[in-house]
Amino acid sequence: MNAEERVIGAFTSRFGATGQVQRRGRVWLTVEKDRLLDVCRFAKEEMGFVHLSSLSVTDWVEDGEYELTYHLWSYEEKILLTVKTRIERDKPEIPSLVSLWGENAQAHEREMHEMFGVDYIGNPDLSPLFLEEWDGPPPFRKDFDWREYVRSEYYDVENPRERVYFGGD
Amino acid sequence: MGDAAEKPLGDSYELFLGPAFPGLGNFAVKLRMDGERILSAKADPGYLHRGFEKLMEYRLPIQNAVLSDRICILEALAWNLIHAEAVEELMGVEPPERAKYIRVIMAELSRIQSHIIWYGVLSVGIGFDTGFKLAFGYRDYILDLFEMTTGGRVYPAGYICPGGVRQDLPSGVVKRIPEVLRKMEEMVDLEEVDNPIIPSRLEDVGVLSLEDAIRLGATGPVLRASGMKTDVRKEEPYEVYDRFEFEVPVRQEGDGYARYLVGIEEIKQSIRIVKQALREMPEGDFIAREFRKPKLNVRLPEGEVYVRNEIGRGEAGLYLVSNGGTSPYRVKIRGPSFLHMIPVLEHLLKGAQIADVPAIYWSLNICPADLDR
Amino acid sequence: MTNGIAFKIFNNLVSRPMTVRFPHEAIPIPEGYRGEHEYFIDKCISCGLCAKICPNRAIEMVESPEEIRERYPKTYPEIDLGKCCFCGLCQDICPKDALKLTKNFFLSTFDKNSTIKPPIEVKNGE
Repeated sequence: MNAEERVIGAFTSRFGATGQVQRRGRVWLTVEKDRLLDVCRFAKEEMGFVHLSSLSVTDWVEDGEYELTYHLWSYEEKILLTVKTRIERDKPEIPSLVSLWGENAQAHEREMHEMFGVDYIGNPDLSPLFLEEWDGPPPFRKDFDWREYVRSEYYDVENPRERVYFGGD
Repeated sequence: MGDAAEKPLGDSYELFLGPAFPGLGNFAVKLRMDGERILSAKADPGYLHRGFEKLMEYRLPIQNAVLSDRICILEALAWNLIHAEAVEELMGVEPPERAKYIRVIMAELSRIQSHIIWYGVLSVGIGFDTGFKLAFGYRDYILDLFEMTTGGRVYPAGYICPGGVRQDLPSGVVKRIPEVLRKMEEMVDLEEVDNPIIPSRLEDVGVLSLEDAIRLGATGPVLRASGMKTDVRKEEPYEVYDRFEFEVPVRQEGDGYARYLVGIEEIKQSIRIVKQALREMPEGDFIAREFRKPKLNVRLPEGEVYVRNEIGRGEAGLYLVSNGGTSPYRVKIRGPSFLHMIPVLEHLLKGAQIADVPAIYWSLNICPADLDR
Repeated sequence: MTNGIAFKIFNNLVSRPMTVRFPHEAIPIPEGYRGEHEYFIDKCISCGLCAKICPNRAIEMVESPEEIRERYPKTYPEIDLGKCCFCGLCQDICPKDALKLTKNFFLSTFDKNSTIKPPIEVKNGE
């Protein structure tokens, strides 16, 4: 049994998570959203996945779900553990990881809140990070039509050089 | 304005530093000051936000390779490489041997020039302008190599593309590299000259302890200067890094001077890697056959990958999700500066003197472009 | 140490500067530089691949001017150099080598509309 399978085994027996080994050093783990915080705490405190490398949201608009991914790295095992969980798109709420990773998780969650509108319960500051005076829908959602937005806000009909982007009309 | 503004004023005042302040890049910090001492700092990024992650969802992988130059202006080739690796891993393509060596040479040259710029801007941050001029002068030797190889000085335009590299390494470049490496050794000598300005301005400034560094997610030279021996090139060797001998420099102090010394040592190690790669580079193809001519209707197989690379500034990551279309479904770019500029910088500025802000900022080797993306 | 610095100062006094006096002499442009496009209309088969792969959509397929439409009845790429990022993908994808990137980088202009490069220049009285 190699290190990757041992990692999956630990999570399966404790949390009933399903996992697969993609290649050496890549482990993907799918968990229920209620157990996310426990899984991450276990990963950080007992399995040595101390580095929260990245945090991402994928918008599966046809399933009506957001997929949240947390990429954790262990300096001892040299394994990248990706914890995935799905939440409903209409009620995008998930417990925050600020209690585990502090400002690191806080900054990542702030960005994802701004771009996808996911509410991280327990995050002290979800104020806008990159966008300035933006009051539209979160822009990285799949149903946000940025072409339509740019056409209505910035398209200069007089300028022939812009016509190629928006067709003849 | 966040929580800093809501605190009772007392004798403290708020100072908005940036984004056009020469000591910082396109980036601002809101500082709550008590006299000359910083009580708290709040990073204000977003001046370079271009939305690459969204843009990539609408483009073909070959176009994304061109786009990935722009993620970080100073390390375009390193970002080319990580994008190419992600697409290759998703498609199950293996680039030819020669392409891997060319990639390593280009990535290491890119690291050298990025570290030289680091030295230059750090010198400006501490008021040593000569360093800046030296750095940009010497960097041009490497830019000449990039121009001969890729056709552009700063932007390689997707030179490292999925499947290999777009052009073979010209024989002129192979002859020229040893000469340029000698120049770089000269530059390292100049950096190592017993210059009292640098230690006196950087020692015990911006001290980052190992626990804080790990908790805040520091990577790369910043983490190594705090005492953690880690390098993605050693831990998960990508391309052909496992065939080369090089050391991972580590310092225990965690202050600005330690980061500076780690940076110099890394230039030396990169020079070593380039020399070995040049010696061992095989002949052969430089791009996989099916990628030789760019194609429009290449489908990305369904799946997801996360690729990590060690670029000059730290750990870079690219998370690529595909649902079987010609464009990626979701791309997440993890720039090393994201965590260095928000949590780490805010942490280090707390309690520092106002005059140390540029020194702390630049000693972290950061680039606002890969923070904002 | 002091000796080293003294030697370096002396060396710098006699060595050539890193820069050149630009209009009088120039650093040579290497082969493979990505500059302004050169377009050969007679090789072009109007496939439109260059317009499709252009990441910035700087290339638009347009009809040739009235006077020569009989000779060139199809659509031909019109390049907007103001949008172009000089990546060279159009050159790579072109099946007939009708587009080539040259070494010319003297492209600055005062008039935004003059950045558009039509596929063929019609000279008066031709």
